[in-house]
Amino acid sequence: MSAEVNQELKAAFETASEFVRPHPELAERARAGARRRRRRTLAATAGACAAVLVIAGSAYAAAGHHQHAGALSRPANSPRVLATVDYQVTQLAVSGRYLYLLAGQNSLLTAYDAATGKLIRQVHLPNDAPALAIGPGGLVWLAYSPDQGGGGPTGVWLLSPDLRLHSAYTGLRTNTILPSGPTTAWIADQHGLVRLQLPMPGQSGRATAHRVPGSSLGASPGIAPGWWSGEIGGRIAVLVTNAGVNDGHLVLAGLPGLRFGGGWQTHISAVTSTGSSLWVTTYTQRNGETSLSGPLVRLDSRLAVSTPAPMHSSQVLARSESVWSAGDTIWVATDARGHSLVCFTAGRTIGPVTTMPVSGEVVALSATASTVYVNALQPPGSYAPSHVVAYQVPAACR
Amino acid sequence: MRAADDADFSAFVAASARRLLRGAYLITGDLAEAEDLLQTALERAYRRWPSIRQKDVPEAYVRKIIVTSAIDAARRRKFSSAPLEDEQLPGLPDPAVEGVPGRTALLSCVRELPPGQRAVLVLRYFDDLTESEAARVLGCSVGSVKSQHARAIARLRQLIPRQPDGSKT
Repeated sequence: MSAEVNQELKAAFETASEFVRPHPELAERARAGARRRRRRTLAATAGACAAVLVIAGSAYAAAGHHQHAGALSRPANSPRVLATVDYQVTQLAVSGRYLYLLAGQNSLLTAYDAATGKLIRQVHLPNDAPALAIGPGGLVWLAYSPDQGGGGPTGVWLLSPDLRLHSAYTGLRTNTILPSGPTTAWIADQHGLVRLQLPMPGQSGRATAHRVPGSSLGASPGIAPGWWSGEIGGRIAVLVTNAGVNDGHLVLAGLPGLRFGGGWQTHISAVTSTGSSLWVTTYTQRNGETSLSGPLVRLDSRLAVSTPAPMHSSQVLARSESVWSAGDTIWVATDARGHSLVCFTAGRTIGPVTTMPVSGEVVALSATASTVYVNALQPPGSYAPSHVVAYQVPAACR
Repeated sequence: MRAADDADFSAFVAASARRLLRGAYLITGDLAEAEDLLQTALERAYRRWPSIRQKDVPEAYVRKIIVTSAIDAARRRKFSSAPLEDEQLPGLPDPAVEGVPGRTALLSCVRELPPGQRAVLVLRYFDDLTESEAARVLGCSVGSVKSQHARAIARLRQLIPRQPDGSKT
């Protein structure tokens, strides 16, 4: 290779990496990481020693020496702070080894290791992101669009679980994504449902979007109607808005005559689906006064109210603010004093309602069968840095 | 660790991190991965800082961890993922070489090289290391560096697109 090309390589390397800047707190991060690693090593060593002691103790007892063995109890399953953030988390989602934090208004998506809290990757999004969903197979769906009056790009991304690769469909505006397969999803626009298919992240191919005939939502044109969507009884329920933010109501795609909520009587603040029923947090507005909490309601596949009696009569659930689900477990944030977060099972057996040791205003949550990840503002409504904390799911809620 | 060592570590990071991160980015082609590699390497360096500092080789130590980890990761990933072709990965700033077609093409060709050959080119032409210094970083012989370099250059000659007038960029 000629000296000229050598110079070209030098110049190309210099120019291509010119924009690269290390994190300003890199030294502190490295120190913290080294300390974490040291603690883990010590814990592993202690665990190995404990295991040796247990084995030795068992052998000793088996040999007939029935002395008091002493309690080699496991450490209490205390909450673990996985991450501390100085921005407003709008959604959490856990899938496999990853915990995703969406800061929709900051256009930021972050993946953490759900077990250790190690930052895996942070992605800056092209615009505000109202929707995040995990599809079968663990691929990450994300919608981005300008908020009211804003400008900029609009579209949907499908990202690899580690957020390294993505495919995109640009120009499509939605506030809700309901994955239906590894690379397919339903989205709801003002005319009804659209079936979206994207190439696998990082692979070439065409993204396609097809309108689903007979999927009308009965919403007014010009207003993005879908704020939430979920499956119930083989149909897709969508939270739509017709006349304003206080008119949010649920409809079934293709059956817009069936609806729940809206008007001045029952406003909807959050919805979740277990597949066979919907759980909805509601609030009311009377004489111009708005109460941001209200009763938790269960709906059947015809959107008729079917709230079980224990939930209907619960004074804590009467002050519900938001709701999430994982399998048959329902998680409810309330403003009832001392009950910021409660959970119960809603499968074949219902309840009991169990209070979690969480304080503050729960704004985002995602759960597996064994662990629930919670972001709560302390004090409620504050903009101080907040934690994402992992708690063990109580046995009563599994 | 003594406070003086701590301060010394901070000074080292402040002085060297950017250069090390740029090198890692050129080898991996992925800023997030480069950041991960650098932080992990610095964590390891911090744990052994007094001895590394005493030997006066912190940058070489950290670079060696970065380069060998990057090559290992690239080999493991070889068959498990496909990079985007036409778009930048989300969050990755546009390369500053946009608008310099010759250099863009050259970098694209470098990214086609096997990770070991790519690392040799970065060590030689970005970090300005001699062949023996590059060999120490890669943990191989000088002869191996020479042969990797020669193969990389030969491959680049094949890959660099020809201009309409027959010349190469």
